[in-house]
Amino acid sequence: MKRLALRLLPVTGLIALLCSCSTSHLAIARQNFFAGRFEKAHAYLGDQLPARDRVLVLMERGTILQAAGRFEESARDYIEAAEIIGDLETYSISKGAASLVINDAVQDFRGTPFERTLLHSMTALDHLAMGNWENAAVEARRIIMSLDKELIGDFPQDAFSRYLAGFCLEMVDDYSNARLQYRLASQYSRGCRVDDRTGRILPRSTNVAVESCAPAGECELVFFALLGRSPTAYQVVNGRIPDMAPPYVEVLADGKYLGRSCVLGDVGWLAAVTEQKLALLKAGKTAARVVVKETLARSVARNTDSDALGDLTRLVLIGLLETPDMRRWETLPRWLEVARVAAPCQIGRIEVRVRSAAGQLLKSFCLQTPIRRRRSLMVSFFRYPPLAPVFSEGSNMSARKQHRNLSEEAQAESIPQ
Amino acid sequence: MKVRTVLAMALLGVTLVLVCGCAAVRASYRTVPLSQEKHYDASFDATDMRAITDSVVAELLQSPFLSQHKEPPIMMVAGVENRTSQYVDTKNLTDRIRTELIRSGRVRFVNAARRDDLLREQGYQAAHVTPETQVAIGKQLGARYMLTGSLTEMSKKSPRQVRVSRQEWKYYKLTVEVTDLETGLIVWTTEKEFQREASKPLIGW
Repeated sequence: MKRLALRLLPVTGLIALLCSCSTSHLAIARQNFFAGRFEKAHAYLGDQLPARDRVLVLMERGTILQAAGRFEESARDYIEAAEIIGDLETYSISKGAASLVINDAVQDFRGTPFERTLLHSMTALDHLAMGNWENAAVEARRIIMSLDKELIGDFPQDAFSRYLAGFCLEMVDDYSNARLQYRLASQYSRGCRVDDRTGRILPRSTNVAVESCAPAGECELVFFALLGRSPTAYQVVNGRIPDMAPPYVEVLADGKYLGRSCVLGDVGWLAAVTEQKLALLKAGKTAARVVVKETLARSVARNTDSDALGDLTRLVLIGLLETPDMRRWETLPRWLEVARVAAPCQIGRIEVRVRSAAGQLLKSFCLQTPIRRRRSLMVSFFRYPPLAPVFSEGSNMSARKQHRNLSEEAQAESIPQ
Repeated sequence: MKVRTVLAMALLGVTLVLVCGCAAVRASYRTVPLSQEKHYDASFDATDMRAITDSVVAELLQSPFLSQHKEPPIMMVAGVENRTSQYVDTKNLTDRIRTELIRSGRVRFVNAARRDDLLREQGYQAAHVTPETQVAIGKQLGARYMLTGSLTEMSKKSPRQVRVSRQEWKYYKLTVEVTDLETGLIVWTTEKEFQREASKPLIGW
């Protein structure tokens, strides 16, 4: 027994080391992502990372690739992540038992309900960026399924994903389902109201009536703005999510002000509410695990007649390995906003101004063309920070070229009025 | 004690050899007959695609719409809309319908998907190819009918409750239409539907 205990210690130490190795790769990748070094960030998230973190790695990598304008690869990663999540619905007894002796991080990462919904939303944005309307609609249906009351129960509803699902369905002419999603987006949004007939969005605080539709001869521009950084795992676990007023974006076409965005989703709020819902479950599991570990430590002390060895076992099992599961999809944006504005059909130059809640200009840059267009609807999205090099002014040449190609393709494939 | 250890090790060795020799734990492959029906879950798969397209083609070939034509009518494929929550390659579906119809000799198709390539090649030939091998411009045949459709899905999962497996029920429907390009009338349509229930364990090793 003494020998067994002595062998157990290096094994547990090794597990702890391996866990930290995976975490450090993710941390470096995230740092590079937020510094705008997408290639470097991508290089840190290879296939060598542990299988249990595969979903998280794919989520983070998909976001990095999306920001780099590599939409197809990004969608591939997201879709693979969703497939693995589907497989992980089967609870593994072996990993569940291991998590009772070590910690929750030995289990496969599946993400929380809101992360799983946003996984489909981010995939839908990739498809929109590529003009794959049918695939975007596939993800819209997956968003709707992931937000099914029977599936998520008391977990929070995500108004942004509802809106995005509605928009994707509108793009494939499924208007009745689109309207339903707009209605639900309006119902679950805390700050905005959505007109279900037109999909137009306005802050709840204003009394202005929603315009019925774009004026005759004009098109509509739907702009998805992904702003800020989602709270870190540390902030979520410790309940220290910064309470910040959201910034917003103004959209201008050829110098003319078109409108501004409205906050439909706050990842900080989604994370905080989800953490609250999971707190009781986690506390119960941690208590059970501590009891198991204490029993093991006492057993080692009794069988070896050595209190020191028992204490050492306790130190390793409870002191070192008893840590909360800090795996979160951290490259997500904080605020999920949408601007839906009437716009001239022949837009030469779109200017986007990011402003703080107080109205201070944070960043101003140009989009040469909206990413894609179908009939009178134009769609575009961007992330700030970090700015995708394809959109920023200080970007590298290859990324700029990629964006130019994308814009040309968009023009070529757009259906003229 | 030592004898026991040796025996235990021998038993372990034999078990390992047996397990490794078992086909279930070895990498292997075999070619499966296309007619073999095998589903791992309730989702739309290759077997469904084959069955549903065969059924559509058989019905179209027996339809009065096709019988009334003395000459095989010319059609173009405009695509089948995927309205499911699955990534279904509907091009695969229309390709198969088109192939089977061409094989029957009762329908002709213009290659609408490759029209740009056709025009490019004709332009190239007009500029660079000898007159005797050059194709004539303006001789392409126009389609009279357009083949379109949609694949829809309805699904239901068993609700949240204490259980060891989860039931999933899915219903699929493929609608195929032939539209007269001159009049805009739908001259032939069919619906093929099926539903499947699958069970997935919620607890595993």
